[in-house]
Amino acid sequence: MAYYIGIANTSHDPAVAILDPQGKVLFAEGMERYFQVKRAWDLPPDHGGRIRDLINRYCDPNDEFVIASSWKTLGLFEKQAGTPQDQPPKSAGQICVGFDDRQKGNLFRESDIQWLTWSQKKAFDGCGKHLQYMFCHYLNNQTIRFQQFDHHLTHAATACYTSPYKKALCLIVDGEGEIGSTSSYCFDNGKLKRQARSWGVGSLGAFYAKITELCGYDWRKGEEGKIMGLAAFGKPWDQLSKCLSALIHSEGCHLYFPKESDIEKQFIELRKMMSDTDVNTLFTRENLAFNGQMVFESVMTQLLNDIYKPGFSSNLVLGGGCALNSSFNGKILEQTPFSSVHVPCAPGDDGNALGAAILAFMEDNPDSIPQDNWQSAFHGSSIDHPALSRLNRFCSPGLISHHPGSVHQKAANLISQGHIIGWVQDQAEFGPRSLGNRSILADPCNPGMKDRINAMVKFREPFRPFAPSIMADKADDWFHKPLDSPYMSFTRPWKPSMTNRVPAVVHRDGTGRLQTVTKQSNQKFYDLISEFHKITNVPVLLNTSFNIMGKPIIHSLEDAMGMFFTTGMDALVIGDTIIRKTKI
Amino acid sequence: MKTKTQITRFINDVLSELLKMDADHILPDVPLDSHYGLESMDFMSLCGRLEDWLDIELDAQEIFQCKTIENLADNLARINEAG
Repeated sequence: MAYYIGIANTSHDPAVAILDPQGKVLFAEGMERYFQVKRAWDLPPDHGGRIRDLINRYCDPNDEFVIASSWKTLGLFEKQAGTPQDQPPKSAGQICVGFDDRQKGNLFRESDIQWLTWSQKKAFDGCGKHLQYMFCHYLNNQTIRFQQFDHHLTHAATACYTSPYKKALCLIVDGEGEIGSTSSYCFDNGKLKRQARSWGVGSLGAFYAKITELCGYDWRKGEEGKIMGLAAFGKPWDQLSKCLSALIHSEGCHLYFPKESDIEKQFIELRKMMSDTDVNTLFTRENLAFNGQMVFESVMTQLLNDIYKPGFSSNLVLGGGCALNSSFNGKILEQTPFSSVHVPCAPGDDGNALGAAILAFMEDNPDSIPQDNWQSAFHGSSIDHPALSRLNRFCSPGLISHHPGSVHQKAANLISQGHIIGWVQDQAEFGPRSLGNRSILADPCNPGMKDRINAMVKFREPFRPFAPSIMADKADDWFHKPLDSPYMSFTRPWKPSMTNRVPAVVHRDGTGRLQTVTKQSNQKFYDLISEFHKITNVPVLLNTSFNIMGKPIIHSLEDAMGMFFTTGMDALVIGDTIIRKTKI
Repeated sequence: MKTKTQITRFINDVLSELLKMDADHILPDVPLDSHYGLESMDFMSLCGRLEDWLDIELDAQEIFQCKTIENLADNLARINEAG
């Protein structure tokens, strides 16, 4: 019997997952939380001190261990080695469409590719080294086995084994895999079989990163999500979308970028459009975002239509970083032959820690069935008890109060009175979304709330929308054809009659990236929304991640307190404890 | 099961499209990159199409070692036979 430690060893979003010998998830979390560095570029997934603490906490250190990583080879990265020397682009932070001579006919500058290659090689070569050292030096344990799995296979495992389906087609779309950026799989009764994969550099993830860069944002910081929000403010523009769609196309499961000379031609065309001062076709970042998103959606739709196999299954499982595009995800059932779709809580590279651990477990236990807790997102760290005791001891009397059994009622009251609260419960979410355990919550009915949180709590751009968490059994009353969306993976239109009741969570285009909450998935959060519903007759809360722009979601109690006292939040709920800024 | 002759024909047809050359004029025993200027992107595209057509999973590192049509067809016929 062995413990299975999955390691996501891409150079960004490193993560660790631990399964017990029966396959139950004991822990899964992106390392950015521990380091408190967004995306944790170039930081080790198996950081020595952290991994030692996790093993001591969750495992019997004397038992057998299998260490499974999420890359089998360096693949394309091996072929692109170089030295990442460069100067910053002249127009960083602004709309940037000049064809840089350092691009040399690629979508990205040569130095970007060299830096990514260097960074990925380091992550690949260093993977497991800390773990190996910890096991022999601190734990005197030599019974560890290493396994490496194909990158897209680990994505597919994360996505399929956490789905509710026995049979499904699976599509993985990301920035880059070992040989290309897309793979399709058949998932049948716990067995995954690759159907097809793309070879070469054509990549929707890279395309979207380029759109992000053109809009003046930074894909290294993971700012692709801003493009989705911005797109709602733009409008279709034929000439622009034609130009952007000439940069990428698909055939079957294969993605292609055009030849170098054709890429250059499109950038010359973009530059021409940018200098045109016609007021009807102003080259704004909103229009760039809208038309870039449109091209992304059209290529994704084509890919999904091409991988669909009539007669096998109409269930779709979508994974890879591109599965974070909730705007597109919400349209899948309308634009493709699939009748049901699942996106895991961590479709990006952090999620592969879980996929790698599950693959290693399934190899050793081929007759096992997926464990119940694989279909949950709450696998992360808990708040440290000694820290909570210190808070109780040293927090000024009058600022702290305890409400066992009724904290949801107190919190719902505070929210309905216009207070913005931090809400920290149990284990943190695995993946990028706050789903009610590390959340900032507020009243969605307050029309000024969106601007207040953007300006006073998150310190981010005013155009960025907030997500609604809704009682799952009420979703049909509020959304047009809502999907089951436990991980906030799908954006759907609100029913027009409802939009004026929850203005703080309705985006410019009348949509919301909904989270459907059930008692079974998160009792405490459900109870809170339910209590808010009783007070206001609205079964919806504004739910945003517990972080400020540019920082990861909080990890420790100290992170939570620091953010609470340095932002415009009004109250902080940790477990049954409520902390206020002014005496009650 | 595809024979080496069928595989060679398939490769020639794809290369004819990529290199804009008559399939019969493409030499089987010369390096595709240095002799015909086949770019690595196009070689990858050929590999992807071969993988789909043969319905097998190719080992990228092994396939990248093949420099000529002859090498490639030999290698693929062997894998196809074994698989």
